[in-house]
Amino acid sequence: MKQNRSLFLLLWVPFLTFFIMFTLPLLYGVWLSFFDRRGLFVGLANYFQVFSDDRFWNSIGFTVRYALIVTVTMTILSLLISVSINQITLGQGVVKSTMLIPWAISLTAWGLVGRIIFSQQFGVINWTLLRLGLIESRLPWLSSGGYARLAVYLSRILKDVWFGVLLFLVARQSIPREYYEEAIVSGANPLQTFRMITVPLLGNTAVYVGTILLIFALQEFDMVYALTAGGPGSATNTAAVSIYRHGVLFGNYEYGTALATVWSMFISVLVVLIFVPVQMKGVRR
Amino acid sequence: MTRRTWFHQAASAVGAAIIAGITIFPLYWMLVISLLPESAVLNPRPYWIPPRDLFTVQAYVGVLIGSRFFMYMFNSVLIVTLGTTVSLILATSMSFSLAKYRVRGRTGVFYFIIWSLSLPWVVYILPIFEVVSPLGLLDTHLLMIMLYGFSGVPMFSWFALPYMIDFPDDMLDAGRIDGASGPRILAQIVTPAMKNVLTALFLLRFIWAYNDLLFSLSFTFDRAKMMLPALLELPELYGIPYARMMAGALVSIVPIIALVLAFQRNIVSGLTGRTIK
Repeated sequence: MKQNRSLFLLLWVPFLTFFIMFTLPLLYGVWLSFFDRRGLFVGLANYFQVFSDDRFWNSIGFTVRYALIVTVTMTILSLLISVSINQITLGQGVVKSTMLIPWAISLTAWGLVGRIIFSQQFGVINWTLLRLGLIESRLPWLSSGGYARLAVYLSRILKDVWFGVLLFLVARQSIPREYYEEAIVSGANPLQTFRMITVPLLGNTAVYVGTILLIFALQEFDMVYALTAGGPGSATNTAAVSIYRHGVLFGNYEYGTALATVWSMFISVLVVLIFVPVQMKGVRR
Repeated sequence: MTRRTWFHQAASAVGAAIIAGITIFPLYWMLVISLLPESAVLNPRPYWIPPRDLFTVQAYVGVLIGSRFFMYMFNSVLIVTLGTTVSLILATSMSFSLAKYRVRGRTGVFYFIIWSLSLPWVVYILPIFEVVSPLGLLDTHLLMIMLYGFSGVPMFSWFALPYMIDFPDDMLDAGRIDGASGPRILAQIVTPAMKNVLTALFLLRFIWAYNDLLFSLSFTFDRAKMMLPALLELPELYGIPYARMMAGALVSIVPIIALVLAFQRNIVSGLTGRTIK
């Protein structure tokens, strides 16, 4: 009896706060998506509209592409950077401190400073590339679709790659030194050591870093909203920006909730296929 | 020192300087832009250091005195501090019970947690809006504290779980023999023993909530208005006031950078907890 009361307070109260604040409204949103603006039941009409909405599918396509590109790049890059930082003897402490700075800056502020850094006429990137003779005229970083997408990828990677570096660095430094001494004794070259010892032993970390970065990347709203607001046109519209625009800015609640439902179903599939198997590993042992 | 180690030290220092430079550059650039007059920002040839004849703190004056920025900042700090506290209490208690009690449907709860921490927050925005606006909760501190408080529950109970699983049972039994209830054991035995972990998680949650744009943009407009949406509103009809925007951004970042540098060790351990376990 007492055990039950404790369990209610400790487990079910926190569970219910989240469930009532978030999960129930989400289900209510699914319900709302079957009605139109005047509250008339329209069945799947909103969904038919969603399925013929090319802009929304483009935004889902962009989000998935964006999430995969930044996650894969950041995971590989952060592994390589962390191995190099591990070699640094002088100034490693300084690097470890400064690495947290981009991570700690809000994506919003990061996007805003990106606007001026990537600016076509006044940006430091174009100016530097021009001076180095790498380009002949200023690139339209934020005003042409292709370049804007590249700018979005680059900004995100430069901000969050350090998060991965840090995790890999800590994991790398927890590998026993003897393994590496052994490798030197048996005559392995640095590349072999990296391939045969570092990579396999950091495998778990890589999976963890990869999934957490993927979860965050699929959420992408803040930085894109501050940097390009989804533009030019809808070239860098992520799913989140799309849903926000329809629901909050244009006031199409019902249509917006239909979009949100489709997007949550999509993520739920990923949860079953990727996130649950990866995350449950830590609990079952 | 042999020649080889000398070379290694020099290469290290250069490498460290390059990496530190890359990581600090955006912050530095914000500072440079914020100390220029608006007209000088729009210069095809960027200034690497604000020249003496152009140097001005006008942008800071504009942001801090000419707007209600302090109020927005106060709102942000207040809401995020209380929200984080709520999150941590709820998440700690949930992970403790999952780790140390026999819970029916435990695996189901785990699935629910993973599902909730993976779903993008944007899918909740519209229905929450629909539910809270008739209740008169829009644009209130209470709503924001609940949003930031409850939204952290799945992820942070998940982060705390491995530590809770490893918590020695003997220490709990001592409390149980004394007849202490679950919540008391949690408050008087577990929490003090896990102070470091909980500090780390508190900082992580604080930084993530403080840096969130989506909730604050969707649910605060005036009374409870928070800082990041206010930054985005600076653009005006005649153009984008970059210097003011950067000044505001920098002011908003300063508390977080201070926190990060002061508690660096805690934050690193909070971030890496699950990987090395």
